[in-house]
Amino acid sequence: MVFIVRYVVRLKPKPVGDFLLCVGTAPGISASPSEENMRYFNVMILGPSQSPYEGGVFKLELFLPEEYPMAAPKVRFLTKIYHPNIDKLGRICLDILKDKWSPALQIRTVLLSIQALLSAPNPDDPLSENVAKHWKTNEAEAVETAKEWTQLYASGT
Amino acid sequence: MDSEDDMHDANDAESMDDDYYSGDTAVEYSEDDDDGDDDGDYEFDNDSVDSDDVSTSRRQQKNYIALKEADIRQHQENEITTISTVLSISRVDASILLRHYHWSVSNVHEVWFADEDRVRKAVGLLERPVVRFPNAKELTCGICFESFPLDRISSAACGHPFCNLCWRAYMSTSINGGPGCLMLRCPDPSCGAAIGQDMLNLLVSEEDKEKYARYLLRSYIEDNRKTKWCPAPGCEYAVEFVVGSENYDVSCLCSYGFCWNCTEEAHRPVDCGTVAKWIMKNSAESENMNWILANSKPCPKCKRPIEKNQGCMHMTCTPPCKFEFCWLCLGAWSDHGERTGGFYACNRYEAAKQEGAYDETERRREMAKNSLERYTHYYERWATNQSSRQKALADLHQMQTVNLEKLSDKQSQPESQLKFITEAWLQNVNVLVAGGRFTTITATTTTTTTSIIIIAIVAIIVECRRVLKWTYAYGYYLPEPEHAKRQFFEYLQGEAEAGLERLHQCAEKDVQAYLGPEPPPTDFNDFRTKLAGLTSVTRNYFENLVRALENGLSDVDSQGASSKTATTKSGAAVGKGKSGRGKSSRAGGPSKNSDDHGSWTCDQCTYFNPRSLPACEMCHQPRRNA
Amino acid sequence: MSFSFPSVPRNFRLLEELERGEKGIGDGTVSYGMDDGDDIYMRSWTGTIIGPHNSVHEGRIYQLKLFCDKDYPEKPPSVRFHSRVNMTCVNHETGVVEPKKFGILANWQREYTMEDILTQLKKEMAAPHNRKLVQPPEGTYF
Repeated sequence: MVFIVRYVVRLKPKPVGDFLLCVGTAPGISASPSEENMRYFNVMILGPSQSPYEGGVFKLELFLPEEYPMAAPKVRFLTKIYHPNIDKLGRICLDILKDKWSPALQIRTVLLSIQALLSAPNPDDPLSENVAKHWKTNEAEAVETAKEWTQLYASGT
Repeated sequence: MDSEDDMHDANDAESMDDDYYSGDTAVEYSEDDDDGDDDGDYEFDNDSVDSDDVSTSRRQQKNYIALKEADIRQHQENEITTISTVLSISRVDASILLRHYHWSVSNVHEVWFADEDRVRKAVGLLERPVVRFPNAKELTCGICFESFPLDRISSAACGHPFCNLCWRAYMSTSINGGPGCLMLRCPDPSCGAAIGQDMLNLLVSEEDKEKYARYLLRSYIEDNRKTKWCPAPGCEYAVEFVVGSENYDVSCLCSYGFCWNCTEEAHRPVDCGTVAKWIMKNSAESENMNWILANSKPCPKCKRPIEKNQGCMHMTCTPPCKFEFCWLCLGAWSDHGERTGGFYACNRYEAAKQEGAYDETERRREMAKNSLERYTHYYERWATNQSSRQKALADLHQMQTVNLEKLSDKQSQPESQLKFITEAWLQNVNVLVAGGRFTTITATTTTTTTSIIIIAIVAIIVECRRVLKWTYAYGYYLPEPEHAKRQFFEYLQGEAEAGLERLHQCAEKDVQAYLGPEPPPTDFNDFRTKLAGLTSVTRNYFENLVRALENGLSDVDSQGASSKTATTKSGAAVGKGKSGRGKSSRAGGPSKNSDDHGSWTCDQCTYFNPRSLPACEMCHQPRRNA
Repeated sequence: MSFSFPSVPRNFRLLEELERGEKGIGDGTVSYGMDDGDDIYMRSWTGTIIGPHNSVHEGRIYQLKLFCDKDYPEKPPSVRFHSRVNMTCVNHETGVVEPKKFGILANWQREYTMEDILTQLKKEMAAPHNRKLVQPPEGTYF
């Protein structure tokens, strides 16, 4: 069950190794590199329980840019999701993907943070104005919409 | 020694007096300055038991200092030394701490002694490691997860291990990302340990070290409340200002004078708000829009704006449109003729105007045009004074370089000495003029200093042009309905301008006769007397003008409407007699008639010195008994 | 052993272009954005070119459609004018920019972007063979 990919991508100026260490050990998260591009990953995150996304299977894509790990990985949702910090194109507003990035963070921690964001939406720092407004004015209704969308777009195989 | 320093600085922290650290040279912060602090700022005053007036005016003159790069470094180093000594922390930690608190020594003192732990946490100065690996032979880098022998692993004070290559990449990324690198922390996301210059210098390339050092130096100026870079293009000096001083006009070593508050060109006596408005207005498209509105209308057919340049109302649009129409009613010209009461009197317009149909747009157009004319009036005068000032400034530079050489040949004075005196003069002219206090130029000096006097006069002209220029911005914003104030203002401005024109003419043209290769003509002394007289008159006018604007033309209020007609005669007298004396709060400070007061004029350079000084403040020539 | 860096995958490349387009490019005479903000695969784009100086196109506003298929940026997008235009590289019937007649599309490299295409088209408008061509009335579309 422990899914370890020891990655040996030789890069200037130093090797980046083991950045996938422990990805598989996090429950509800998987990431596998694409065949054509070793820095491009297909990611799957299960909607956390007790969240409107529970039961959903969310597809994401992740890319390690040339500057990685000095620059953050690029991640976005491919599955449509109703969330104040995720926009229509699946782009994610998360501090560690931007100014709070640290090279000591790993893909695993990034994906865990995204999963945590699903459990705790933050409408005060929105990426999707409308959704955030909905969340703030009528949270119950917004949560309903999020559940519907999960049903609609994230329940497939 | 240590305890004494502690005492000394603890006291400062208590008094929270920013001013203490500014306004003087670096020497002051160093440890050997352990004699009394009270008068440390103004050593000159030490043995003068003189009136407050003198020291007040000195303080006014010393409310800023210009800094060269070496001075900046020196100041920075000294403050780091102070903090490092007092807080018993390393120099690197002191530097991080100071940067975090905007290079305010007193601030650092205050927060540190209030709650050291909190400060350490906020800034990231750890006292002991958070992780330890006592027996490890190899450690795993927290970034690349490879294992390395200890000599290839480095850590900040926290102990989080990363390999040197990862460190180098991490630091380099940050340094190349901008001045944020000064706040670099340990890469571990849970750790806030600060990374200092010492560690950085061990790991990064020479180029990155250099960049980091630049940012650190710049930070001392840019993050500091007391300092700013000189805004003159290409100038690399900075100015340190005594925060809280009244007079914002400062003069950089590059000779550019600017307002410390708004960093626009020096503009006393006009306030920063007026200047900002005026500059905005000059650059704004809004004036163009007004112009178009006032002078053009859209062609009724093709809608392109048509400009009317005087003349009749019969307009023809430019090809290919060529539509002919009436400027007044915008109707087709073919409709005009006898039916409309003749070509040049479009009664349709008149009629419509009477009915009010055109009122709104036409009135706006008319108003825009009036406001434009008004603006143009002030702008032209503002701009003319600006260019006159530039001209005088160019003359000044030329005189300094060329004429000084000539003169030193002619008058067998070493050039360096002449130059020194001139520079001393010039440095003070800005302050003197802007502060509303002019130096008396008397005709009683020896010939050796003639050219210096002229140079000083040109410098005064440059400053007067500056003052005058800004009074036009002031005039533009002076509310129209304040008739008495406006009249008074325009009177003062007119007198000052007329005086300045005469002086400028005299110093620019008439002087040529005396700077030629021939020995000075016999009437040279007359000329000098004339020049001195003009300078003195102009000085009075500008003093009055500056003072009046700085107190918001309040003399008018106190005099009431009755003096409206009398102002023409009494304007100058008002300034001289009334405001000239009693007020000592301004930069001019003790404007008591200085001659009565025992002030004296230097024989060598003609500088007007306070009574207390035994030697000239400018050229250090000892005072001769009058 | 030498190792060439894996290239930026299609979607992230298009996201980069989108962000650049959102910030605004240069003097604003060319611009582009997504046609359908809901399309997670970011296929349809709209470009705008303001006609260059010293040409019949000066001041005219041209709208274009760009379509980035799955193989973008390995293959160029298909480009067609929406606003009617008379240019040698544009099909008179459909407004399609014919790759054979337009260098950047003919010799496509994956580093090229939609911005490059629009900028090149603007240059093309000012080229001697296009500068003076009689143009259809403004505001007409293919």
